Amino acid sequence: MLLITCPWCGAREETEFRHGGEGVRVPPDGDDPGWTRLLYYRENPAGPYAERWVHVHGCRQWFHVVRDTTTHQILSTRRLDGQEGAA
Amino acid sequence: MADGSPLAAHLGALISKASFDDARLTPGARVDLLSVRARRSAVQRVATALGQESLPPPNACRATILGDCFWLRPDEWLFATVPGGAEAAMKTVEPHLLDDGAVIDVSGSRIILELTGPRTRDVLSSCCPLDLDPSVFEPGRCAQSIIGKVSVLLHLVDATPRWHLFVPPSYVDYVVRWLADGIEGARAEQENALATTPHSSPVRMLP
Ligand SMILES: [Zn+2]
Repeated sequence: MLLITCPWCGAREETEFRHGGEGVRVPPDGDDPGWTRLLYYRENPAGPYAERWVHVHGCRQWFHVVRDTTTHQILSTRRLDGQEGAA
Repeated sequence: MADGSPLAAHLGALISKASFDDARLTPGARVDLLSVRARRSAVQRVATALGQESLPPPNACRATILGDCFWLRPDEWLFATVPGGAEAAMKTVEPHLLDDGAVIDVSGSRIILELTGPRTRDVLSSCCPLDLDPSVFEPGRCAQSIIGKVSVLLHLVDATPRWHLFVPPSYVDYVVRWLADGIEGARAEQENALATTPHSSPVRMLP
């Protein structure tokens, strides 16, 4: 069971959340290979991974999470607007 | 529903059978509910109009002239006002929102269940993942979480502890069954403890 710190609600169990996949994805300038990469390729690192999660049964807010894929440790969470969380 | 209780008759029977002194489940008061969405300066304008310094911060509930106000998310608050009071409450809030918010009558979107007694933390912990320890969950706090698999808004009203659970009407049956199960467990645990305590009733001590 992961304990995830929602930037608004504080530490909650993972059953209140839904995983939203890889976090920061920047659209390419326009070439097809760039779009293929964006749509179909993921980094899948062994180690810290920037993801998005949503507190679906709580405040319903999306936020950034950095999770270590080898230990499942949640390294950091922050609001989408980058500001400090309320929790 | 005929007797004015929001709970169907079979659920009334289920919860009265399960409840005991240390964990009692009852239908809560009927309320009208308002969802107030507000952003930027509208948040402060609404607070001021209600005579409050600010609207409640995350996971908190405050009493206002329109009834209990719950934080739901950064730009949404829920007001539980008196039955039939939604329209008047909307007229109080709406002029202060301007273009930065909306107020919607969501009465009937949730039914309140009241859970009281010293064992209720154990009962809730059997079906809800929140940390309900008194050191972190004190009276006046609220939180949206799950009971079983259903989204529920929990409010700790006082230190009895007395809880108000805001449950979607179509899931009341499901939630009551989870809670009745938890209450039954707490009661059985207590009876077992009594039966094995050396100083309990002499009748129980007979071989
Ligand atoms: Zn949250």
